[in-house]
Amino acid sequence: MTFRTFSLGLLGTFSLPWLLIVVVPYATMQRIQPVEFNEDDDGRTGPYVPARPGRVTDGAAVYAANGCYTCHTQLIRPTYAGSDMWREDWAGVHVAADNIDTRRETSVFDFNGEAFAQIGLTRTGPDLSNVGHRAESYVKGTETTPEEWFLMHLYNPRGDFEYWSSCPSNGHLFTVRKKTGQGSGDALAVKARKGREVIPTADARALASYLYSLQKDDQVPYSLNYSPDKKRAIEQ
Amino acid sequence: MSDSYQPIDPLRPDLDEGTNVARTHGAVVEDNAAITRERRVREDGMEPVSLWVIVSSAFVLLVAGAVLNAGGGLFNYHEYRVDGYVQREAPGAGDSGPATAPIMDALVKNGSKVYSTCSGCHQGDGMGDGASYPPLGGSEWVTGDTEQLAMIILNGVNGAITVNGRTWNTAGGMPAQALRDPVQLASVMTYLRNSFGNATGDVVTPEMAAAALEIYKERAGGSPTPPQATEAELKSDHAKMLSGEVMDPATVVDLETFQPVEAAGAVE
Amino acid sequence: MATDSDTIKHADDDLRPLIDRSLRHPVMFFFTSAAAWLAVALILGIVASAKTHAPEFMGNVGWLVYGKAYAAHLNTLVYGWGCQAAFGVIIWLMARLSRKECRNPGTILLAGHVWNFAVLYGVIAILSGGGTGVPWMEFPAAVWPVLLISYVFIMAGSVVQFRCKEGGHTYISQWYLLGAIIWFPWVFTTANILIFNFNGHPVMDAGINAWFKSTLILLFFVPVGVAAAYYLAPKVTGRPVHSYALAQMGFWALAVIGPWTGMQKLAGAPIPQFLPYVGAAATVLFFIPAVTVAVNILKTVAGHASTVAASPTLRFTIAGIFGLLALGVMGVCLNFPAGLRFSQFSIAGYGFEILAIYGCFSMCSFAAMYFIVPRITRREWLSRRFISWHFYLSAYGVATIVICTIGGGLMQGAAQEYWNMPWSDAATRQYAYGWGTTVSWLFILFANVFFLLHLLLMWARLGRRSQHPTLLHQHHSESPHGPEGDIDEIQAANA
Repeated sequence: MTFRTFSLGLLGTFSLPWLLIVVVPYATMQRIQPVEFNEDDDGRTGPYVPARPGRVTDGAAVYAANGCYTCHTQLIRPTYAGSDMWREDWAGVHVAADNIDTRRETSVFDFNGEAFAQIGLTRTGPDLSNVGHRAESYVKGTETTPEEWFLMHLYNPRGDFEYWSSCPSNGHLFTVRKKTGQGSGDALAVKARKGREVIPTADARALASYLYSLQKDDQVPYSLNYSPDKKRAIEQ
Repeated sequence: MSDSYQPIDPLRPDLDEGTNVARTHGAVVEDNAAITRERRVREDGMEPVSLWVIVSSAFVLLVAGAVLNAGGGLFNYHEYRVDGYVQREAPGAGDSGPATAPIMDALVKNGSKVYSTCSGCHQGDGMGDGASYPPLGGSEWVTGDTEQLAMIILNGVNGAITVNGRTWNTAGGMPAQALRDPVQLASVMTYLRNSFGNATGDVVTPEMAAAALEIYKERAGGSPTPPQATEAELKSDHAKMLSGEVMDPATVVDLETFQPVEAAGAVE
Repeated sequence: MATDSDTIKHADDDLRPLIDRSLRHPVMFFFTSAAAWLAVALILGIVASAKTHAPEFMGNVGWLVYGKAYAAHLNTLVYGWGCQAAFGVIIWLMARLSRKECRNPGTILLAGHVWNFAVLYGVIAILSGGGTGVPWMEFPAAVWPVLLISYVFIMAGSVVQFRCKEGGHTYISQWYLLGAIIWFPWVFTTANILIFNFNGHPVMDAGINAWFKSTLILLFFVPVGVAAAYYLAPKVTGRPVHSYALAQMGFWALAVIGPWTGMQKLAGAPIPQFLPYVGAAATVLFFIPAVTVAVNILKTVAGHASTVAASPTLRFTIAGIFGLLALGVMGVCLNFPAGLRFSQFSIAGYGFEILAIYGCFSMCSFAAMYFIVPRITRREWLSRRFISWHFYLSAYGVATIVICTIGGGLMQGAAQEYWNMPWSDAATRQYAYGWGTTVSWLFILFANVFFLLHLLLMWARLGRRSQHPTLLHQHHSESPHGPEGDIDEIQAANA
């Protein structure tokens, strides 16, 4: 084998896949256009833009820096790739009795506003695509808000919850300081040392807001809907 | 010692007579013992390619082919899902059966949807408008005999009718409601009898609603637009409960067939 | 009358020490620094692994939360240990095989220090909350250009040596080394630029990251390990490499298959849907170069079991080759259509990575280090027992980790797929395996602390001055190398 053969061979065998599976899809996906609703199929018009109320960008940065993606995923796979769609509370809200079924796979627009889609490495903890809905159901009937629930979970996942969790206690996202007077309105409803209260930092709030914004079950346009029961708007 | 120029032999160190060759060589050998031990790398092996390699590689190629087959649509940069993908039903979901609920809840929930047609006149709170449309809450026609209620709904009402001590006589009366599905009829009747302040606590089952529809057909006698009912007729001919098995409002039923399910608590 | 082969041998005997002397500073620096980073990586790995089954372990230490510890563990393992060990092996091996002395050891040494500082800065940034959240690229985005530039300065000399070598045979190892030298910057730059410096689609960024992780393993770490094996096996046994044709087939199979791998981690994600399946198919196909190389090397040493048992170099090499074979088999098991959904989000992926980095690459690197260090320090290893412990604890440790993470991972994945069971079922299923992993990492740490100690002693020129190599078995009562014992005493006795 001459050096010429070797270099041509190396160049050829690497640049072909480099182009086909790295560069071309990267360029193609950079240029994705929003999918439009249309009157006949969806009963509305306009582009499909998932609404993500909450501190998406800031919160995503805190999520990334704390390595939450090492244990949690944010991907609901189609039924040919996994059973995520069927697991309760993961893909959306499904109440058969009320004929409510908002479950759907992760769509290509679900990570808008984030720099890097935190698909995740493992599922040591549950998938977080719709954790906002789960938090809402956990606080239903109480006076806690979903963000407060998240803050409590981040502070001590093994606190007063119904299930065992191996999530780390993210105490570094909170400050424990001396209580003044009746205590701050921001203090977490957790037991702290006498005379002290636990205050979430800005990072904790951003993360809680980001987690609450994870409700990826909104209505997608007809062309992105893979449900077997989907009906066009004009046929309903 | 010679002054003449001697050609340098590259294999021998540049020595003068005073050097002990053996000792120098020993130093080389000892200091670099590891290196002098070394053999050369030989790559002149010409054994044929082993059969094991070929067979296992072939097997692996088949597996890889199966993987690619599972994907499909090679180099299509605009397909994000496998071609023709439709969500599969959860396997074993059929075994646990369709959704179930207590019959009272199921009928009331469905009835509230049916009622939306009625709310145009009788208002969303079922209290009527005080002038033309009588209230349903507290109305003896609603909470009384179910056959009367069914006839009112299916045929409409004309002429004066006394509701809760007040006489109503709206021009044209109440139009007939085109409810032919026993479940829909049963739903709205159960809803009316248990809402707006009414609390009869009983359910009108689809079986009873079916009986009501029979009575309606008989009364209509084949005419597609039977006459509206009158107060006198209702009191004389229909002052009874609809026939049918009385069902405990807490009975758990299948939400599709509205039949009771065998196992209690067979909810998903 | 000197024969031609004697002539060549003498020429080699003269040239080799010169080459080794020229390289001693950069190579010893890389090896020692890498071994120290390995110890750090192992400690972080133990902390991270302990937290999977005992979440309150060091729960008050904010800079060691699981996510940060895990990220720091992998980054130090890859950039601190893996890359630096690879650099040491590459520059020494390329110099030896090209028969060229190193002309710029000072530059390489300086670049190595810069690399070290960049990695240190990166790890501190991760632990203090500045990580980027991109797996295996958690160093802040400003670090990668520094790493790339150091890399160029470190490797430039080796490429020049290769181009300037006097004609004649190009060794198999050199193909792999040259491949690794070219593949690494191409992959590294592509991934970092596309993810950090261009504005791409977030999901495609995740895809490119997955591609980066896989190609870094298969096109940098594995080739360097294989290059070391193709050098050490024929070298130490004196046998020729079993089949040149098989060697060519293995190299080109890796070159063709390697770059397609990686995106199977995004199966089911909203990216062009052929990408994950091409990645899975290519990872399955990786078995072919793996089995080719393994058969070639194992047949080279076949029949020399006593040599393999006695030589630390060969033992570690063969262990590394078995690791490579296991990696090929795992590639098939974790990526065939049914297996992929189980392994995708379980710790089996971590097991695969550790098998590649520790089970294959590190074992071959240890082999190379046990061979190279005596030659550049001109001392023999001090303790047979240290080497023996290093070998057994590493081999058993990595085998246990791989069984626990891959076996446990597949069970975890299967439990995850039981969608009508509560989540705690799947979550708790991996605790026992997590415990096994922690204990194994502890053993491996133990092994490598001894290795680091051993290496530091060698670096301090405290090795044995002897003509005898430090072998793991002592069969001959009378050594062919002459009497055993302190060299000065022997010379005094003979004088």
